[in-house]
Amino acid sequence: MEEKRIKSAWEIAMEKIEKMGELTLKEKREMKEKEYAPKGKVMAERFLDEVIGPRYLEIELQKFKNDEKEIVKKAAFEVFKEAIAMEEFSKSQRALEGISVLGKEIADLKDKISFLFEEYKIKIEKAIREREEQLKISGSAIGEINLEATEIWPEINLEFNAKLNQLKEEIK
Amino acid sequence: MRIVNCLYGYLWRGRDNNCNSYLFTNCLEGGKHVLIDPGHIVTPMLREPALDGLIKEIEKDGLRIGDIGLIILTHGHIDHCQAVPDLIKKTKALLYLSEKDKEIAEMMGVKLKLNRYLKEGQLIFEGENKVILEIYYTPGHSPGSISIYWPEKKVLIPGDVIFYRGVGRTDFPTGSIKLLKQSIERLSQLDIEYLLPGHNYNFPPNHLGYLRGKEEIEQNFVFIKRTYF
Repeated sequence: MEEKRIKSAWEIAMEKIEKMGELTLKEKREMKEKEYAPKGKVMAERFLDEVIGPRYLEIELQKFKNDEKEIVKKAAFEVFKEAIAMEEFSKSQRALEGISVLGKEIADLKDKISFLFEEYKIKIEKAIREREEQLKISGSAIGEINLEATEIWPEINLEFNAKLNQLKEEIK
Repeated sequence: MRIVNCLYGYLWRGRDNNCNSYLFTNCLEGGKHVLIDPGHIVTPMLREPALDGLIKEIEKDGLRIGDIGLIILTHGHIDHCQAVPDLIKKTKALLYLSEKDKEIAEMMGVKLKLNRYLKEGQLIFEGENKVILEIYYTPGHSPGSISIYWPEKKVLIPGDVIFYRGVGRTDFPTGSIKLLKQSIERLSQLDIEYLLPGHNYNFPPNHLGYLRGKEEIEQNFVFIKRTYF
């Protein structure tokens, strides 16, 4: 009877390499994506959370080569794109900055998105002021408007997010 | 429970930690109210239904939760603001807090969708019940703590700056005993008939749950200064 024994890490690794020889190009790509996409995702999230800055993001990206780099960049790009939303003004600015670091040409689009945010800001400011007037709230203690609180005006968010999504589709 | 005029108090009576809430009623146009510090949704240790309890108490007073038009937070600690997102969904109320405490709430896991940052000055409500409040910046317990003073009725809502025979904690990373003392010193100069603390700490059994009358309030300030300063 064949005796069962625990395989060493080296043997397991060699078996995996052997199996890889049998993998198709598509499967190899999928395996690489599984390995490298999370790295890009984490990098982008850290950038959005301001744990790392643009220079550090660039340095981190340089650590990857060829298609691995492409996978990392693609994953990071998806995170940045997803983060652009009307209700998240400052996060969106940061996401656009991140997309530039990835080497995408978005100067024109950045202007269009900034313009849309300006329009949105004016509309939300007007909505807050109108609500305050309607409720008869006033006084010197009322400070700056915070634009990230707009869920009580879902119709404005719907309208502007639709416009924003169209612009986001232009980023390739 | 009506405290004075159009001001109601919902003093936490549970066993776990939660804040007291206060409601200025019919002071906004359209019969809308202003709620100060809604507190927890459920309390952290014993899972007591704090928000459901608050809603029931408000309704018991013949008021409707849907008529809240504005929520003000004295500071951004979770025991004062956890219920805010739920309440905003129910009421579509506006939300005000000082800018410095927005991050504090986020650090505690509550994403507050503020409409306005509050600063020092007057806050005027011109509904059926006209109320003019004064907002004081009183840091120490948190960097952006505010206290709300209603000069007409001499009511002070200090959040967690002062309690009955006690003061707010300053051992959080963003707390400062030095700033807290300055804030207390400042508040002690006000003419106060009603001191409505953010928590029911230290009250003896059968006490009202808030401080009433100049004498009791002055004695409380004296005790606090002697003990903590």
